[in-house]
Amino acid sequence: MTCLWPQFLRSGASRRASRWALSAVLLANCSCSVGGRQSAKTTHDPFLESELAPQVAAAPAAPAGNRARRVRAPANAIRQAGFESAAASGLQPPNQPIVRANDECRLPEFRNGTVIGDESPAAAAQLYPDEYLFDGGDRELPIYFSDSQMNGLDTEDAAIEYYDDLGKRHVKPTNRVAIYAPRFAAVTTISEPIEDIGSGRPAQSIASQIGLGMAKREGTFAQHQRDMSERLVSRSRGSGLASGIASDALDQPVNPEGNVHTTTPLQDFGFLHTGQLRQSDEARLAASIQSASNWTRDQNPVIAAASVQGNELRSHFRDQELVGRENRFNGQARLRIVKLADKAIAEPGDIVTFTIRFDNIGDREVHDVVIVDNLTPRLEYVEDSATCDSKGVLETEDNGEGSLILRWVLDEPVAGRTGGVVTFQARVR
Amino acid sequence: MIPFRPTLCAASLDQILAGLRRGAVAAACLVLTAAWTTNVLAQGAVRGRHYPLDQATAPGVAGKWSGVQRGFVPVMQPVRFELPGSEGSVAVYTGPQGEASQLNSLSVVALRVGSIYRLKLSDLPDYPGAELYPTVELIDRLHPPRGREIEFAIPIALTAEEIALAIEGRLVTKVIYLEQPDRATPSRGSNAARSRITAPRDNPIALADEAGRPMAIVRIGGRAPDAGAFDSGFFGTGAPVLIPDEAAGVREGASE
Repeated sequence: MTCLWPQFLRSGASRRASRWALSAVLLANCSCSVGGRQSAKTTHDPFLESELAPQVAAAPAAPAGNRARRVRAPANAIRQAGFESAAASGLQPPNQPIVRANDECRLPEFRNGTVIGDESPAAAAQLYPDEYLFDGGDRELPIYFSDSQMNGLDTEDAAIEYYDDLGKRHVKPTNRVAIYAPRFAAVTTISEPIEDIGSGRPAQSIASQIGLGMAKREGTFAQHQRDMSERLVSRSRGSGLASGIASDALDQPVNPEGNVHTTTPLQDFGFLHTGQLRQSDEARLAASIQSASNWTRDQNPVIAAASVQGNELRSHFRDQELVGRENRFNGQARLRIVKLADKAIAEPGDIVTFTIRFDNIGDREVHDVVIVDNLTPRLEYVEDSATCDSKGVLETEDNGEGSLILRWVLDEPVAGRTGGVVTFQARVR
Repeated sequence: MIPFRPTLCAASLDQILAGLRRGAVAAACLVLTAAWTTNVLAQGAVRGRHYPLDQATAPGVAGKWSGVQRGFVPVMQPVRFELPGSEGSVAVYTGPQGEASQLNSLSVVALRVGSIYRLKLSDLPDYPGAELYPTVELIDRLHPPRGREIEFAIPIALTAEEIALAIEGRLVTKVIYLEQPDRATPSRGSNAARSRITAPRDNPIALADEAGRPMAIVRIGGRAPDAGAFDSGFFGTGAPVLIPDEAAGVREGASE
């Protein structure tokens, strides 16, 4: 077994692996309980109480300066409906220390030895990306061009493509916009006591639990499948395929007769096929010529080969003319592109307006400007919502994942020190 | 003739005994490894990954395992119950003696991650008089912006089909997971519409893990409290429960 529970290795809890170590002892205690009893003076944020309020007896003091601000919520926002006693839970380790109520302090959160103090949405989006919707940037494979075709445009990617005054093609991704919009789904399994009995054997599932581990034994309802001698046995070798077939099956041996080398290694160079001598063949040809001369002195090909070599391989060119280009601009053509969203939090059904601002911060103009945005599957483009303050057309294309690729093709060049704005709306699915 | 050397011979006997002991230990380890491997192989793997937990795992184990992860914090995570047609009532048992609290119209309750709870579903419009007692086990949490915790509660959406099957006496195991955004289906359906039923042999935890992050496990069966024999374990562990006030201004109906 390589891992006890791999899904938790990718879970949010595991990603916060370096959090305050003593918080683990809070497993079976509500943070505002004293000796297993509920404190009636619970006024701090109950959803954060286990992270914020408790102070563990005999625990090392938090580092100075790491005390974060206390967060309070309206006292009537939450009403306590129940609490547990330590004995009733059955989850509390016997040597667990008592958690005392103290809403004057909170345990700082640590990651890699430093306090997590950044509570901005951007920081949270980095920690828990599966709870956010992203649009913009250039994730996974970088955007590149192959035969004038843009490749590497993954979902969520947004970029601007342009040519500078020298005719060089550029592409620049936008920043990444994060919107908190978690969405859920479910997988359901239906079972009953006599489900899935392959051979009429009694179905049984025996599970025993030992400590925090689990030892499970399954009953005898498992299906046994034995393959007879009809199976195909194949092995792959470095030099080819060797296949063996069991009895009463197809026997199809493969012979290595497909690839027959008709030329000897001494003849396998390009001069013999094309008549042109390459420099890499020169030494081998010289050896062959030498060998040939030993056998047929009257048909010595040394002179003919040497003449071809001199004409083709030892010529070179020199620049005879120097062409200059006047630089009438002081700077270079550079585009800056920024993407914004009007909402940082959204729920399914909400409409988010995205704004893309591009500016030519250089002095030279750029032309053939195309702004492209590949929407993530959870963003649905609102029809006819796209705007652009420059002349151009909007092209839409199915991205193959249930959403669209939006492409604004500007008709006019973007002069230096100018820019434009593109907006569109998308509905959160 | 080889001379008799008692000291050397004694040392050799010790070495032989030590070797036998090492051999016995190695054999025992080999047997244990073989037995463990057989057990592991019997539990199966999904696409090269091993998932020791499945629908046959005893309730509470998944939550307990999540509690021993490094960095685990037993926070209170709001969950929202969504019944078919938004009809029916939900109560959560708050104590091992069978104390229950009825949820208000928000149907939101904050449960502790890592714990297991017993609930009661009643007043189902299509099944007059029927009562279901599902369990909810939270194994992970969300990290919404501060002050928006209730708004982004984990939806526990039960479909009419699941309720019907549970009333028929079948065991419904539902794993609710947070979708991976780039793998999400491009649909605009409700939370209940994004629930799919798999074959009994499929591991729903493994399937949920492949599509996102498992958050909660809901089990609905035909088990009901025995009026003749009180079972304190039936009503859960008595873990804390927080019910948000209706006046908190929570926006209802997060889904379409």
